[in-house]
Amino acid sequence: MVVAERAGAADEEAAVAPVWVVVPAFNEARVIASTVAPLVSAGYRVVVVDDCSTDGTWAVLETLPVIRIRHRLNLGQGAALQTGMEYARRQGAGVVVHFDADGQHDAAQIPLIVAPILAGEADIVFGSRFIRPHDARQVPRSRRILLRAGRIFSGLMTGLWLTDTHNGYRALSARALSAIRLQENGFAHATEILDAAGRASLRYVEVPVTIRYTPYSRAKGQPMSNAVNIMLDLILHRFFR
Amino acid sequence: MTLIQPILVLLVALGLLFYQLKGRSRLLDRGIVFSIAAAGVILIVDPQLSMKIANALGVGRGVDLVIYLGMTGFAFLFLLIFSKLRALESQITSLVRTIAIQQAVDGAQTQPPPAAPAGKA
Repeated sequence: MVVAERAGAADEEAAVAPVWVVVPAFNEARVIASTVAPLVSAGYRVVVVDDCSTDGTWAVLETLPVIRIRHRLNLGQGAALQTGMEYARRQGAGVVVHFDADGQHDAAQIPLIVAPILAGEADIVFGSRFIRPHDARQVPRSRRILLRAGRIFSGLMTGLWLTDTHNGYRALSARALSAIRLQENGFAHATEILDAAGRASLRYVEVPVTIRYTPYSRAKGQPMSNAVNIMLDLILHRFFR
Repeated sequence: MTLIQPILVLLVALGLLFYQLKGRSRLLDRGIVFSIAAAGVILIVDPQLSMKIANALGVGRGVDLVIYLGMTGFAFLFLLIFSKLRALESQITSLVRTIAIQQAVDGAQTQPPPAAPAGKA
């Protein structure tokens, strides 16, 4: 695809500050190409971490102009993010954005989410579905109740009270990148990030984002019952680290 | 002596033998396992002893005391194994991560040949 164009855009971007986008992917062969296309054409450095998919995601990645990294074992989303962040950090990334592979996130919102970091105002930026009423209305009702509960739980565990703790859309500065090492391989990493941010006293802000709920993303998303598992992981994390 | 007593003693002895042959060999471990086995044998041979200890501790029956101690022992063992598992998991994670990063391929540079050689071992 449009290699020359892409390279030009990347150079332009690099002059400002290289923005890296880390996309953890597990069995996303159907959508991964369309998810990364707008990221590539916007000139971001895109790192896709294939968490040992079994549906041919890797084969699709081999045809895309992105950096591809493959876990030989399935470790979980938190682990995939950490691998991507680790790689980006070693390459000298200034800003890293977490971006879902299932098409829930809108690439056009990346400039908004990295702005506080580029401006030097924050080390970590959390996307939130609950700042603007019209974003919140996009969230299915059952999800909304669960997320509210997750917010309270995370707040109690970490002392950081965000409006939307379990939003996968975030941006991290180089400083946040070196302060945060995710050890929770599963989905408990969302709260773990808050915890680490609190401990390292990173400056954080929330930025409104719109999350697209498609039938695909909802089918791929976490079943509600997983909330209990995540909670258990977090409690155990407290006692076993 | 009832029939169950020699059977139980034999089982404990077999367990101990198996451990000594196949298990870990740190002196402390051996000591702990050996004393647990010895205590087991003593309690089997002299059931009255556990009764006496139980009564002294305010527990009704000797068997109850053994069950309580056994339960806490199992709980402790469970936690031990669990933390071992987590340590193992994090070791595997860092191993997988190291390999993954070493073998990362920058598709933006190896493109466009669509059938680019997959840069893996």
